[in-house]
Amino acid sequence: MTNRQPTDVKNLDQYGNPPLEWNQARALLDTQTESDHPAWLGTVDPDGSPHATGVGTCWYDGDMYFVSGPGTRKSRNIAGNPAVTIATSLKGMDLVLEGNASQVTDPEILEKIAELYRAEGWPVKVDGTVFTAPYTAPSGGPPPWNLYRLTAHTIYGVGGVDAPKATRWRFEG
Amino acid sequence: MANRQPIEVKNLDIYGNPALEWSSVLERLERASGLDQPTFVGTVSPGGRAHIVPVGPTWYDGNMYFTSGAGTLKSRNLARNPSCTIAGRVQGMDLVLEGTAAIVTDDETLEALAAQYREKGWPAQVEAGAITAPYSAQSAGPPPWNLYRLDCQTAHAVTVEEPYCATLWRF
Repeated sequence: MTNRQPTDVKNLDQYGNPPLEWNQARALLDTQTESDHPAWLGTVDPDGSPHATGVGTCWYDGDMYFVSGPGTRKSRNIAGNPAVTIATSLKGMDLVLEGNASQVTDPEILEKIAELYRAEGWPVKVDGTVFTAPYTAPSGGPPPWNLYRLTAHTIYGVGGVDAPKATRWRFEG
Repeated sequence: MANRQPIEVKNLDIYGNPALEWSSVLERLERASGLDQPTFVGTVSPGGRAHIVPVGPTWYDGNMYFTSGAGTLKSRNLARNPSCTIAGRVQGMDLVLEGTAAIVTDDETLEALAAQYREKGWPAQVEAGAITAPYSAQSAGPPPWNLYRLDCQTAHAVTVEEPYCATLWRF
């Protein structure tokens, strides 16, 4: 969502603080790398229970990307219900992204994201429409892994103790 | 679940590292009396959509607790579907607890948790089966806040420093 701007901004703070600026959240996403912060992917199991797992995310050109082995529970959940969340803690702001995840098979995007992961030290390569590498996280399962893009329709930001603010942004299209 | 032990342990690691000991998770949780900030609670909204929000949970006597205002989306979600996840990092380990969350109303537990919150610097008091305080997180909604206990059915942990291990436990 290159330069996509929110269509709706809601100040969630109840103590008189002004809203957070979307451009400030975006600047943090643009500049902080994955290794700086844990990120959690939330999906929904077929029985309606929530499922959470740590993921290695990658923010590129206004969208959040993550990899997942096709046989994992999160991939099977996404195949049945693409509504997901990604929660992450950046330096200065906690962010929650809500939207739909879809598998990316466009070779240009795959190459671009692989390059970003390699810059962070993960020696990933594009093999057709999937990623492969000599290793991944201990519980990441064997290669290959699919690449997913989360297109956020709603993002929540909560500032830290030095900026006690909370804001919801909605996005269209 | 004071001292509850897992009935099943599964080593999720595929590179030959050993399984983590559940006792090593408990030691971390007890040392930190919870998870590092922020920790995220995941619930499911009507229509089957995943919802997740940062919370400040507390570990007490073998269980994870968190507070939530009655009008918040997570409380409304839990009222119709108590399934819930708590995910956070604690001392070099990413930990996810999955189970069901229920409101706690017994005064003894409420008082114990309020005392623990006060020790951490949040001036919480018990009032009419819930927690109240002059303030809370900026987006927490007005007091009182209900206290929830997670009845953990599954936990999984991945270490983010050497040795890289990943383990799943069922209770």
